Amino acid sequence: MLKFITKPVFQTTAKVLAVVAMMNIGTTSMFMMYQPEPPKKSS
Amino acid sequence: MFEISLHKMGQAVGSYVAKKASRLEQAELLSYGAEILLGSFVKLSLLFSVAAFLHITSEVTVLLFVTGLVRILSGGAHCSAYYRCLITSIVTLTALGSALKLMQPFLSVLPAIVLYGTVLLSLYLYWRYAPQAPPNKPFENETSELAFRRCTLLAVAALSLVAIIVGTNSFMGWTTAAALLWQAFTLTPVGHKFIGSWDILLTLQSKGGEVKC
Repeated sequence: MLKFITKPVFQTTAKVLAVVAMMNIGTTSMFMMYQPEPPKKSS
Repeated sequence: MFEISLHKMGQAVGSYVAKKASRLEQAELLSYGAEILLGSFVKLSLLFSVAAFLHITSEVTVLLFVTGLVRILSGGAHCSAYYRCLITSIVTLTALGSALKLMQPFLSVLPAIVLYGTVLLSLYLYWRYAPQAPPNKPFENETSELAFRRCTLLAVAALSLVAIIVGTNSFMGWTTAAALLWQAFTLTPVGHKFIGSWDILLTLQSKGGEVKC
């Protein structure tokens, strides 16, 4: 049961992280004065 | 030695999620997303804790909304490590919020022309210096730069209008004008030097970069 739930949870988390990362590429960080180093090549 | 680095935490979370979601090829992108999310969460939690302690939550909320929104479009001075940015942001936003709250009785009796002057000065600075891309993410081309410039000026004009309509009697008017002016200041050469001096002041290791916080 746990194994059945875990995969979609992580897949959704991965989608959220990817969207956050992509929205920040090409813009500046909203939360002010530090810009994390973006990945060299995003897929 | 116990060390905390937001960059490493982001990498760990991103890699773990990539592995569990079978997206190993996206590990770097997910780590970057995790670093942004973790950084924002830590920063907002600390900022609003300090703001609540000082009873300036409303002022800080408006300051953060206005500076954040305009900063996405205009760019501005950056610190070279997360924890320096964290301290600089919290100090400047809470200092601005406290000053605005303290000066509110004085500001509310000032003639509206002072508010218009503040807004006009901000508009000039954005016209003169915006947009600015961070060194590690330059604009892809001139079209993209021009689009950011137009969007910045449009957002600043809209927020200036809000400040003028709300007027000098409300804290919103002055807080919006102060936020626009502060964000415009970070675009100027003096603003870059100011943020740069904080960066040097807060440097605990001579090598710089992502220092442990």
